[in-house]
Amino acid sequence: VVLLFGHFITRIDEMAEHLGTIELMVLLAVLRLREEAYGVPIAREISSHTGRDVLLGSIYAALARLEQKGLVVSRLGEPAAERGGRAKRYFRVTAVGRREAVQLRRAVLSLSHGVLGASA
Amino acid sequence: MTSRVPPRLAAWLLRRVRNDETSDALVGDLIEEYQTGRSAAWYWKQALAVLALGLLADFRSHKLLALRATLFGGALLWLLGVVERPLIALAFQWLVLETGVMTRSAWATPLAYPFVILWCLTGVLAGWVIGRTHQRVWALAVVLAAVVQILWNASWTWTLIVASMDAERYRPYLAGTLGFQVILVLSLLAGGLLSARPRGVGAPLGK
Repeated sequence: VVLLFGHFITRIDEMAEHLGTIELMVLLAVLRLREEAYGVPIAREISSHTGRDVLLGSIYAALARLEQKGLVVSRLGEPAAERGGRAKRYFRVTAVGRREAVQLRRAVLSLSHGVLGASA
Repeated sequence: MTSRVPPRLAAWLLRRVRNDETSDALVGDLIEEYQTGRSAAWYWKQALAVLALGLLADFRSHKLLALRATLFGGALLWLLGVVERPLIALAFQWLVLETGVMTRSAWATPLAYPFVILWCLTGVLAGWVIGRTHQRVWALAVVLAAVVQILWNASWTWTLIVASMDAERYRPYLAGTLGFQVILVLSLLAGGLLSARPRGVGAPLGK
C-alpha cells in the first residue's frame, strides 16, 4: 500500500512540474507584498482577490514547493509576543521566480485569447 | 501578550506534531490571525489541515522512511498480537466464568476494565516505540501503523458487519471488535504523541 501510494504521489509530483494554481497565486501574492510577504498577508491577499478563504497550511505547502524549485527564498524575522513567541517567516521572489511568473502570465493570456471574451 | 488564547487542544496538537522551524512560523500566523476575531472552529479547521498537509509533505520527502516505518509498525503489531492473543483468550475465559456473560459483552463489565487498560497501555507503548524509532517522521510512522492495524482487521471487521446485518447475535462481536480497534488506534496515536519531543515556545529556532 505504501509503495503504491508513494508511486502515486511521485507521479503527481512529476505531473505538477508546472506551477499549480495555488503556487502561482502565492508567487504573485509574494511579488505584490514585497517586503511584507509572510503567511497572514499572503493569505489575505489571495482571499481579497479570489473571494475565498484559504488554508494557511496550503499556502505554506505551496511556499515550500516554490522554495524547493528556487522560485522564492525565505528568512526568519524576530519572535513576537502577539504571535505566541513565534517568528515570522518572510518570503521573497527570486529572479528565476519572477521570470517564471512572467512566462506563465504570457501563457495564460495567450491560451485564453479569443476564448474568454466579454460574453463568456 | 496575546489577548485571546487559541483552542488549547488544537494548539497542543500543533506544538507536539509540527515542531520544526517553518511550522513555528505557521503556528505564529495562526495565532496572529486568531487575534483578529476568528472563531475556534476556524482555528481547528486550519490546525487539522496543517496536520494533514504535514503528513503528506513528510510522505513526499521521506518515502523510504515511511516504508520502513510501515514494515516496522506492522511487525511490531503482529508480534504484539502473537503475544497478546493467547492472554486475551485466557482473560476472556476468566471473564465469562466470573461474570456469566457469554458474549463479548463480557468486555464491557467492570471486571474487564483492568484488561482494557492493559490493552490501552500496550497500544501506547507500541506507538511510543514506533515514534521514537522514527523521530524525523514520527507522526507519519504512527499514523501508518494505525492504518496497517485497520487494514489488517478490515476483512474480519467487514465479515462481522455483514454477519451483523443478517443476525443480531453477531452485533456484540462487532461492537467488541470495533471497540478494541478504536482503543488500539487511539492508544497508538497517544503513544506517538508522547514520543514527540516538543521544542516549546521561545526555544532557539534551528533545524
